Amino acid sequence: MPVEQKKISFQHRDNETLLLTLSGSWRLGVSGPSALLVDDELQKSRELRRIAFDSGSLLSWDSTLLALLIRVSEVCRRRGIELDRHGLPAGVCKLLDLAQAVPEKKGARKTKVETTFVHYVGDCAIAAGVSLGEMLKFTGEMTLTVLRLLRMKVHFRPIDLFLLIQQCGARALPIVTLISFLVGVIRAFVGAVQLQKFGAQIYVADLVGIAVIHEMGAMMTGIIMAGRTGASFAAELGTMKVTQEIDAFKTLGLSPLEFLVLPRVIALLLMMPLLCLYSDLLGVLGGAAVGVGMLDISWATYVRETIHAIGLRDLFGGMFKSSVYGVLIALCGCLRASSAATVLRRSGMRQPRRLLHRLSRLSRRAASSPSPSTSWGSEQRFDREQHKEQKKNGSRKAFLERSRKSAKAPSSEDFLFPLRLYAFAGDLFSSCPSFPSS
Amino acid sequence: MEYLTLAYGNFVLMRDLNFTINQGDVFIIMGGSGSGKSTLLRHLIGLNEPAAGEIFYGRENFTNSDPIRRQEILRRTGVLFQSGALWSSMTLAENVAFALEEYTDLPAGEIRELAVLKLALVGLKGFEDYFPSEISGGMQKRAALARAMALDPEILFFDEPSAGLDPVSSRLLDDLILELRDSLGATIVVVTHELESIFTIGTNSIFLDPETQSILARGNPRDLLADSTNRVVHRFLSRGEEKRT
Repeated sequence: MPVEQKKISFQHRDNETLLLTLSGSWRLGVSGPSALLVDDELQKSRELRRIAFDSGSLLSWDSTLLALLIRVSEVCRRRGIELDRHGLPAGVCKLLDLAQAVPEKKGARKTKVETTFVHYVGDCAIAAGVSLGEMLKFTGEMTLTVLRLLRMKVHFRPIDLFLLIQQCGARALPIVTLISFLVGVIRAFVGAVQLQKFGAQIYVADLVGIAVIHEMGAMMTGIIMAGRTGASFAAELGTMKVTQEIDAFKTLGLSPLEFLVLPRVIALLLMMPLLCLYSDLLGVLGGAAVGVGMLDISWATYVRETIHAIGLRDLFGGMFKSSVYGVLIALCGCLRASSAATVLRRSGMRQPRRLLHRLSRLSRRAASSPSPSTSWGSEQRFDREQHKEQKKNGSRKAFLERSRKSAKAPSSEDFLFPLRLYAFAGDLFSSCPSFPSS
Repeated sequence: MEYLTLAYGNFVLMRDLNFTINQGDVFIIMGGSGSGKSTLLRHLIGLNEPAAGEIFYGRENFTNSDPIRRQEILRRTGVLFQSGALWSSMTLAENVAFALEEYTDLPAGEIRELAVLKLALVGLKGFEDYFPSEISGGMQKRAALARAMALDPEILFFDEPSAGLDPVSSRLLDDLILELRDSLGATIVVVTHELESIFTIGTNSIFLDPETQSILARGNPRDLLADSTNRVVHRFLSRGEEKRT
């Protein structure tokens, strides 16, 4: 059934009254006159005092009619013209009342701020400073956590570590297998094409062996795990942040760094060298597939040549690199999740008074109390060992007094002070004043 | 709370808040959406640092305490977050037992019994070995309440406890809150804008107003409804009806 197009006609009843006759289907998708037509007509009639409507021929309407009428009413309001709505359908009038019931809140509308290149560079520099501060803070806090680990003073669930080892290790084998084998194949193929010209195709084994075991095994494993496991860590911890599970740790005085980040770091630190070793093997096998299949080199010859080319130093060097990559991947993945958590805490650091207060508290704490401070929750971490000692020896005051006395002689706690300042340096970077956002 | 100012960076939510929560109160923090109720709660439980002002627990200055003392204070509290915030990798019993394992020297068997007891108190007997993803939202809230009660706290904080619950579950939770107050003698602080809950359980309250960034009214919610001369407060408590003079 053809839809009648929307139409609007203008009729001047006298010099002061304009009658708008609406007809057809005023609906989305139906073509018709634009609101500019109404604007032009209203502009022509400078002496208008009143606008009336006739909707007798109106077949149907939706929000397109409302949008036009709101535009007309805005013009009327600006020019002081009376808007007579009697000729409009009742539903339209009710919706117009609803749309205009709540006045615009003062100051709510965003004003566009012109940003020059200098502003943009400044904003980027500030953002980089804040990001650097977050990273420094996180690194400092993790360093302190690792030191507590070495002193066997951390708490996390062993079952979590084992599950993470399974996730990072065994479950990564399929993707590591595929990528590492293909890397070996490609490396061998690229090398074979050139070496065949000189009749030196046997050295494909050396080429693949050195490349894979010395560098590419660790690097490819690192890239795979960064995409697979690092992103997974960020997503898991980010979800925990959104569902306030991390806040629940903090309100119980437990350190999210110890319970969540440290097991992930340990899991990758342990699994990456093993995955690298596996990747090396698969890379060499990939190269062997090309050597044996394409270059007619025997398996024994290929293996012998590979063994001659590489040494234990290459092997252990690659594994060491992979362990470093593993730690970096775990830290980066967890840092991305925690960056949201640090925003609220960072906002409290922008008050100079609180900055100085925290500096003085940190200094006092370093001198007297052995409890470290971190933004991931160790500020709120309840030191169980100290609590036990405190209970055993009586009062908190006596305990602090003993700590102060012991702090006079050089102790391991003195060496923690620079690390705490390191973590606090992150706070200082984060507390750089920012320009008001546009 | 003394002259407490809440801010996110340069954006100030509330200024110079002064109020006292008495022992045994069911204290309601209410206000419209975006008025800063949950933010205030986060400051009370130490998740945020105030821009200015101080928070006292009894005579102890919570804001300026060292971390050890702050944690000792927080051990006397329990928090029920809006989404429950159960740790998804642990069963309900493990969630409840976690704090007991960290802060007590009880044997594992006894901790398990206590966890089962806490879950039974909230009507979840038999669900101890379920994971949070295997139970409904209302059950998750109750399990989170059991976890909040794990260390028998003196003060319980609830952040929008009725959010996402059907009316029957919401009523059951209100009854549970009152039961906790009566049987454990706990002080309850509830952040909510559910009028049914406010009038059912509230004995004292404050009304936060984002426009003035201050407390518009304080007192028993029923008294506020009857006697408050503030149009905004009355409109809120009467669900939008204008006060007839």
